Amino acid sequence: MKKNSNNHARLIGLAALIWLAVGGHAQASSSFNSQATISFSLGSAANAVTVASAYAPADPGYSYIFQAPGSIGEILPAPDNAIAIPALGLDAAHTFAVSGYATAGSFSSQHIGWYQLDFLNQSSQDQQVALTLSYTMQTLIQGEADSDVVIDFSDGDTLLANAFFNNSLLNVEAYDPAIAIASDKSAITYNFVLAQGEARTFYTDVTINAALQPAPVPLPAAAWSFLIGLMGLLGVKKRKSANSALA
Amino acid sequence: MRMMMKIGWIVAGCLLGLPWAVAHGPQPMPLQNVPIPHVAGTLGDVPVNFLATDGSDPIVIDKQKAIALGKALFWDVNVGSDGMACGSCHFHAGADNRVKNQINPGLKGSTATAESFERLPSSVDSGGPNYTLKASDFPTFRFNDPLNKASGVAFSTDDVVSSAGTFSGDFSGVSKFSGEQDQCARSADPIFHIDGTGTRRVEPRNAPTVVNSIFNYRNFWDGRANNIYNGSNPWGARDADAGVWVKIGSRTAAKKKLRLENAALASLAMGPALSDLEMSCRSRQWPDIGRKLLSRQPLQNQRVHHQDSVLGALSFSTQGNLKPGLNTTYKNLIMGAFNPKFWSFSSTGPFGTALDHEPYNQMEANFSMFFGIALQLYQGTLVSDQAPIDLTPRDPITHMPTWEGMGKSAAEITSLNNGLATFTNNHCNLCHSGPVLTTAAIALNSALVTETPNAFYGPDLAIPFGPDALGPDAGAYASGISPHVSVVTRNTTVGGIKLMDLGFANTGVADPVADPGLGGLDDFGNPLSYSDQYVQYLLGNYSNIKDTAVKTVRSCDFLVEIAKNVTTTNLVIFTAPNGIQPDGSRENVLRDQDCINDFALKGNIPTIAAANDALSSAPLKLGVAKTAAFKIPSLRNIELTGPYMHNGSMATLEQVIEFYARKGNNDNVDRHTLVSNIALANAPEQRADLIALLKTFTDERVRYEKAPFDHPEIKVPNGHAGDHLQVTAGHPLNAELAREDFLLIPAVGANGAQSPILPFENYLQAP
Repeated sequence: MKKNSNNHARLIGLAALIWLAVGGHAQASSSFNSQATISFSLGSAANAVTVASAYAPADPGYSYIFQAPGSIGEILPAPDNAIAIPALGLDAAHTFAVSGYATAGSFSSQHIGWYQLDFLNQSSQDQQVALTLSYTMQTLIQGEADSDVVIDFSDGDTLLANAFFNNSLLNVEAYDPAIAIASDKSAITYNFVLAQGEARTFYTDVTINAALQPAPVPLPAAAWSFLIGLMGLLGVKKRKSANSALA
Repeated sequence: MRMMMKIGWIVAGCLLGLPWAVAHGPQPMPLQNVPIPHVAGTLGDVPVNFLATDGSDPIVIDKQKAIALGKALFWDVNVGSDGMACGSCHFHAGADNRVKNQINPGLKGSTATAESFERLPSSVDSGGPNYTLKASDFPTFRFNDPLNKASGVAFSTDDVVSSAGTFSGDFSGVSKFSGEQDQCARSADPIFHIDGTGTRRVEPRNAPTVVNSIFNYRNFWDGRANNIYNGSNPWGARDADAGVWVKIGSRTAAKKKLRLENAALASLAMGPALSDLEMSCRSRQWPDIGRKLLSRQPLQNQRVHHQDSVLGALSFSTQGNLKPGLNTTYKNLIMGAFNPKFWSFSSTGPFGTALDHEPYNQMEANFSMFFGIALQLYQGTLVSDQAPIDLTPRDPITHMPTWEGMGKSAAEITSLNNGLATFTNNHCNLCHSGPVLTTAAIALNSALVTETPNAFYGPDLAIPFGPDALGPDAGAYASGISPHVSVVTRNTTVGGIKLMDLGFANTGVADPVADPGLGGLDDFGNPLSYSDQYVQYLLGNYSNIKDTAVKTVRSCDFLVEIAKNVTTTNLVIFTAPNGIQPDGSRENVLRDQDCINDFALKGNIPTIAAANDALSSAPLKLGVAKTAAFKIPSLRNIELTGPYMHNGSMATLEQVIEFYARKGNNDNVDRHTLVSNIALANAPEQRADLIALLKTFTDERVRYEKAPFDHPEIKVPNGHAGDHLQVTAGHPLNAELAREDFLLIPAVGANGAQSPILPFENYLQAP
C-alpha cells in the first residue's frame, strides 16, 4: 500500500515536471496524464466465501505505443503498471497510470491492466455476495491531446459493466440488471448468489488510451533551445527518481 | 370492390386523357402531424431497437444528443478533406444557390463530350470551370419556341449545373486535433482546371434540397441511397459484408450486419463525405474521418449562434458575441447519443489500420454509423410544414384548400384555385403526390392511406388516415399509392407499357446518354432499379433480387396490370393462355388485401415458365422504364431551390413550366406519357396560376432560415479568384491549385435572419 502511494506521488511529480517542461512554456506541445485508481470491497462478509484478488499488466499484445516517424516526445506508463501483485487484497486501492508528452509528430497509445477476483463458496449453503468496484478516473490534458480511461468489469464470458471516462465525461453502463451504479457514478455494485461450492472469477480491465498530436506550429530557435534544455533536466530527474525508488 | 372498379376507371381515364377524369387523384395536402417513417431492423440478424422509445438496448440512447451531433456534423467543414461540409452544397433552402464554378462537363454520361466542357447559351465564350452563370444561360436545353417542341432545338449541352466540391487528391492522413485540411497529395485536376491551374471539382448532378428528404423512400437522384441502412455505405443489403462493430465482451468485439429500414438518409450520408467530387480526397475511409474529428470540438472554427435551436446551449456564444465551436467534443457527443456497445470497446485490435498503420479503435471503426444515423435524425427535423398549403383552412369534407382567412384577395384565391385545377388537370399530382408532393415518399404515403382507427394528420388533426387521406375518392390510388409499400408499378411510356420504380420518372429532361439515372448500376454491378429486379422475381431468379422490398411488390396495385385473368391474348399483358398465377401464390401468402385493382382479374403475375417464355416471344411484357428516370423531387419550397432538374438545366419556375408545356425536351422510349398529356402551351394564365400555386409550397421559416432551418456559420468555396478564362495559381494547399473566393454564410439562430433567401435566378449574373 505504501509502495503504491510512493509510486503515485512520484508519478504526479513526474507529470508536473513534464507539464512545466512542455505544457506550460511551449506553444506546440501536448501532454496527458491519466490514471485509474480502483478497489474492491464486499458489502457483507459472507460466511466461508474466499476471495483472491490480483493485479497483472495485460499481455504485451494488448498494449502499444504508436508513433509517427519523426515524432518527438514520450509515452510513459507508470512503472508500477508493470508490477504484478498476486494478492492485492480487498479494500486496497491500486493505481494504473500512463502519461506522456509530445512536441512534434503524433503518438497514440494503449495500456491495459488486468485485475482478477476469484470467489469460492466453501460453505454448505448458497451465499449472497455484494461486490463493489470503486474507482476514480482522471485525465489531465494539455494542448492537442486526448485520453480515455476505461474500466470493463466482466465475468469472462459476459460483460457486466463499463465505465468510460473522456474529457471530463464519465459514462457508466450496466449490462446486467444485478449491477447497481452509485448515484455519483464512482462505484458499481454487483449482487449475486454464489452457490454452495461454486467458484466464480471476475475480471476488471483498466485501459488508458491516449493520443498526442501537437499542431505543427513552428517554434522560434530560442524556444527550441529552451525546450531541449528542459528535456535534459527532465531526463536527469527521471533517472534520479528511478534510483530513489530502487534505494 | 366498387371503389376498386371506380379507381380503375379513373386511372384509365387519366391515361386516355378523358376530360371527366381530371380533378381526381391525390391533392396537395398538409405536411403537419404526419408520421416520420419508422426506422426498424436487425443487428446480427436479430431485431434491434433504433430509439429508446422503441424499447430496450436501442442503438440511439439519446435522440436529442444525436440530433445535435447530426447538426454539427452536417455543417462542420472539418468533415471534408479541404473545407467542404454537407452544408456547403445544402445551405440555401437545403440546396445550393452558388453561381460560380458550378459546371460539370457531364461525367455521368457516355457521350463524346462527357469529359469536356462546352459553351453555354449566353455566348461563345462561356461555360467551363470557374464560369459565373448568367440568367441568359438558362435553360441550358432550349427550343426556338420554348412552348413548342416542334420548333427545333436551339441549344443543348450535356454539361450540368451543379455544385463545386473538393480539389481532392490522394489521401494519406489526418490531424486529430486541428487543421481543416487532410494530408493529401494534391495536383491540378485533368478535367477541372484552367490552363493547368486546378479548380475545385464539381458534382455531376444538381444538389437537391435536404429539406423533407427524410420522407424519400430512397435518396440521391438515382435512388442509390438504399432504403436499408447497413451502417457503413449506401448499398444496404446489397453489400453482404457491410456491418458495424459490436462490443460483446470486455476483450471481444464482433462485426455484425446492421439492416435498418426507412433509413435512406443514413445511406445517403455514407456517400458525399468519401466522394472525390464532393468532399474527400481519394482512398479516405470512414474511420479516418472519425480519427480526424472525434477529439475535436464540433464546428471548431465556425461561429455558432447562441440561439441556435439545437446547438445554442452547447455554444460559447452570447448575444452580440458569436464564437466558434461547441463546448464538447464529437467523442463526448457520441458517448451521450449512442449505445456504449458501439463505442466503448477499450482496445484496438480487430478494426483495421490507417494508411500509416496506426490501428483504428471501435469508435473510429463505427464512425460511419454514428455519422449516418445522426445525419438522418438531424435531417429528419428539417420538415417544412408551415407553408400556405399547410396553413390554409380546408373544406371539412373534401379537405381541399379554401385559402380563406389568409389575407388573400379574391383574385388571388381564384388564381390559386385555378392553379390547383391546372396542377390536377395536367396530372402533375400523379407524380407530385401527397403531403410531400412526391410519390417517392412511399412509406409515408402508404401509411396515410392505410385505414387506421383514430389516426389523423394535418393542422388540427382533421384529416383521417385512409383511402381518402390524400384526396377525395381514394385519389391516392391514381398515383399507384396503396396502403402497402409496393415499390414497383406499371404504367405507360413512349415505348409502351413498362414496369417502373414508384417515385421515379423519366420526363425527358435530357438525352438519356447524358445520364442513365436509375438505369445505372451499383458498385457490385447490380441494377439500381427495383423494376429490373422485379423482372428477375417474375423469372424466378430470386438470387438476383438485392433489395428485399422487391419481393413484396403487389401486382394488384399496378396502375396498369402485368397479367390479366382473361382467356384472350395480349401483346403487353400476360393472360391465362400464357400461364398466370395469383400474386403471392409462389410464397403461399396471397397479396390480395387492400388492392387498388380487382385481385381476381388483375392481381396476377405470370408463372415462371410464362415469364421466361416471354423473354424471347413477348419481351414487351417484361419491359422496364428505368433509363434516365430520376427520383421525383418534392415541390415544397420549390420557389427557393433552383436551379431545377437533376442537371440544373432550368433557372426559373417559368422555365420549368415551359418545359412541361412543350411536353419535355427529349423523347425517348422510357419517357413517361403523362408528360405527353400536359396541355399548357396555349394557356399562359394557367401557367401563371400554376406557378402561384407552387409558391404556396414555400415555408416562411425556410425563407428566413428560422428553426429548424437555422444553422452555424459556414464558409463556402465560391469559385476562384479570376474568371473562367483566367485564374491565379498558388492556393495554400498546393501551388498548382487556383486561389479561391468564399461565400460567408453567417450563423443564424432560431429566430432566423433579417433578410430572406431568394430564388436562384436572383443570384445569376445579369444577361
